[in-house]
Amino acid sequence: MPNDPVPAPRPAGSNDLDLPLVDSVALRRLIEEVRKREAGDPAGATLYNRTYHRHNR
Amino acid sequence: MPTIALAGPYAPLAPCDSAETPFRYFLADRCLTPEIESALLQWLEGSVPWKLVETDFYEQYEFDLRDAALPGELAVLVAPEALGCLRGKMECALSCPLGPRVDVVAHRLDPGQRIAIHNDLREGGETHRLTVQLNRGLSDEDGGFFMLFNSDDANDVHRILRPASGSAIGFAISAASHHAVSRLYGGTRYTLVYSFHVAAGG
Repeated sequence: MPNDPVPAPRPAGSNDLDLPLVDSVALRRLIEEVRKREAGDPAGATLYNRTYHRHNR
Repeated sequence: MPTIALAGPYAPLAPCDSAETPFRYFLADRCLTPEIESALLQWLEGSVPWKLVETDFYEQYEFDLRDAALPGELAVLVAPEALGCLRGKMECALSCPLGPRVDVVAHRLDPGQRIAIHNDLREGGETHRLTVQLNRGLSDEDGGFFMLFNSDDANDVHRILRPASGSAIGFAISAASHHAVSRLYGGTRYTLVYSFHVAAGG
């Protein structure tokens, strides 16, 4: 919402940026969400990079 | 100039963590002054020229800040002096001399969108990146995590970072700089993406 406040700064040195890497269903789900498509799909890191730059330059 | 470093919009940027493997990067709790961060978030939520970019493997809204009419209080973000200060901080944090060109692109991720694993490497392209998170507060249930990997295998997770508003990650782009953004389930996740180029002969 536009009127919501910006979150307050975190205390210096706090480590709340890291999500703990615990083997879990939640972690497996995150990995699946960012996995490249499997063999036969041309979409890989190189194609991503080219596409990203075509749209941003 | 020292006065810019102390008082410019990027004055808060200071690494709170850094690493050399799997690629050179640093983290910062804050990048922008609170006043700029607040004004920027409000502006991004308004009428800015978002373009939806859809591919087989990512989907997000983007626009280049060069294509936008920045409001007066935000013009300092792209002022040469301020970008020069930011470039100096990147040079110190990543131990690499950088050239004067700095590009700034805004990204917006809406629920359902994600960015698959990639490394940003492009022949002749930028060599260093700074990504600044901006949002109204995202919970772990909202997703949108910035994920770092040890290789191009999504199973090979190095680190997962919450998209805490105001936080930033700077890194050297290489064949090893694999990262991704997990699917967003709630809220809106904005980022400012700064691109730098290694200095000639650097």
